[in-house]
Amino acid sequence: MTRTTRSVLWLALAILLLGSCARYTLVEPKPRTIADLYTVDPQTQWSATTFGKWEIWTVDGSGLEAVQFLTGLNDGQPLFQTADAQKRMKFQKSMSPSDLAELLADGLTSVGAQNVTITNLRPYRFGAADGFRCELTFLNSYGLEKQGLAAGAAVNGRLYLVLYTGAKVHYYDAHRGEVERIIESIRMR
Amino acid sequence: MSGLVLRLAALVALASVACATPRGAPGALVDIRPEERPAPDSDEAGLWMEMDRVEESLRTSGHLVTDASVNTYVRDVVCNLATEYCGDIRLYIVQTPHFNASMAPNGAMQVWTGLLLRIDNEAQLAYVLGHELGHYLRRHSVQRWRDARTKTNVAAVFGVLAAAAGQGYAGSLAQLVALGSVLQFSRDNEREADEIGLELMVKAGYDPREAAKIWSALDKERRAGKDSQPLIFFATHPPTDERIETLTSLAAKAYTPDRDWADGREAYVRAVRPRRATLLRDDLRLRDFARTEVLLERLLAAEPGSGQLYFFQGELYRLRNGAGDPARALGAYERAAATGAAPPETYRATGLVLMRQGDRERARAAFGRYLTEAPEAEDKQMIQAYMEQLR
Repeated sequence: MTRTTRSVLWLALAILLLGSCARYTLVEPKPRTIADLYTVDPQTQWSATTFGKWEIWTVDGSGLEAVQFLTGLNDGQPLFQTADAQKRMKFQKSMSPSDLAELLADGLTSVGAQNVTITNLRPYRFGAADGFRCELTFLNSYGLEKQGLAAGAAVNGRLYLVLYTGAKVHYYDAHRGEVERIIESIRMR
Repeated sequence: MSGLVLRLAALVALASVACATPRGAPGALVDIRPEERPAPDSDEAGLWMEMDRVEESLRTSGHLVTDASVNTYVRDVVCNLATEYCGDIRLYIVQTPHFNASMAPNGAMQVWTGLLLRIDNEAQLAYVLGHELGHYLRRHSVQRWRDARTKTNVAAVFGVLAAAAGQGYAGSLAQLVALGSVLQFSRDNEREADEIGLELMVKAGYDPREAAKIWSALDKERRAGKDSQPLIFFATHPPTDERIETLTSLAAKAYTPDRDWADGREAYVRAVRPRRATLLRDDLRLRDFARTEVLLERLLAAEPGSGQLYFFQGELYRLRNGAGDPARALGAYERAAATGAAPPETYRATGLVLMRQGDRERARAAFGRYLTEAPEAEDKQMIQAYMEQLR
């Protein structure tokens, strides 16, 4: 089987999986547990779905804006469920916040983002864990300008992230305040 | 592979594939003339219209390099080769680490930044651009279009156009796969485009011996890499031994020692070097480390002692983090620092490797040096936190 054929088969599988996972449920404005590790306390309604290790919340559609919760990645597991990422974008528990920010940038590139720039990387208290925060900008695969922010920490050797991305025009700013409140509301269980 | 890359690749595939009609054979088209436009009711006009749509999406994609100096530089090389056709060609430099160039039948030429990173000099750029101009001048896409219809491959061709216009991700890749079976018929056209590329570069005064070199270099990279995506040009331009031999032989015939040949290395370096750190970072983001290692070795051979290249070698080993890589990374960073021309990030990266190794004192010193060199660094707070932890 050629490499390209394998890629096509993989892609078909991914699309099947996407189709089966694209069911949304309502997130009510009340405390909600993420990954059995911590709770967040949203103040507005969101629609939620899951894909792989990610729980994804959106209001207007995930192509416009999305909060993505990485629900615990073990050492050696890939950040995103793509062929490239599975081969190369793997979490290692020895990674520093700087390494993790690079992993995020490279992982986003592997799923179609371009010109990913990470800014203002800084320490952040993620619930009760020592973690990091940063902001980011990138273009999606169609050239749409996106903005984002991320907060994360490695807890007991597993990586947890909250990644918020949205179209630079309107959508990112429209929900940023609520996302900031959600991140600040993180409490370890 | 990103959606953009797939769409561009699909466009490239159609733009540059060739039919099996040799030059001058029955059925071959007359070369396109300067300022020529196809008759409105012709199939060629339909093809141009489709390409116009694709070009529009490319123009607004946000992936174009807008820097005036590099655009002017490449455009000047194009016009130097294309002469009276210069006004018919619209150049788009696309920021993507993949090696590629293409020429659509309507005059839209793409040059991807992965190509600008990998060539050694202007002569190699001239050969690649001349080759693409060859496809355009000979109307290979139109030949291919007609040939495909007679071979009941219409669906494949239309599929490529649909993919190029922005259809689904999977559809695009599937079309590339479908094209693979058609592409093996394109050898004659590829040979013809190579001949034209060489003719044009010789006419413009570039050393023709540079043409074959790019193929050999890229082939080494391809063999080292985990996949060929960054060198997608190979999908439509197989770097066969025959091709390299033919180019070498053609160059030997064209080269005469009495002429003052140019390789244009200085002009190329002047135009591309200011962007090279970005191009190298883009390439490293793919984390195809074995391939990038080959690329960096080649770049260092052309530019021994480059602090920037040593730094990126270090970055490669730091990110790969396999057995022996931390030591390799530190060695590369040391070489970079010794040049006196290392970017400030060299010291941050040194600190990260040492911190991971538990060498607290040296890690702290390296971070301190980084903040001295880059007091307004974006990650200043994080680095200060590391330094506190390392006390």
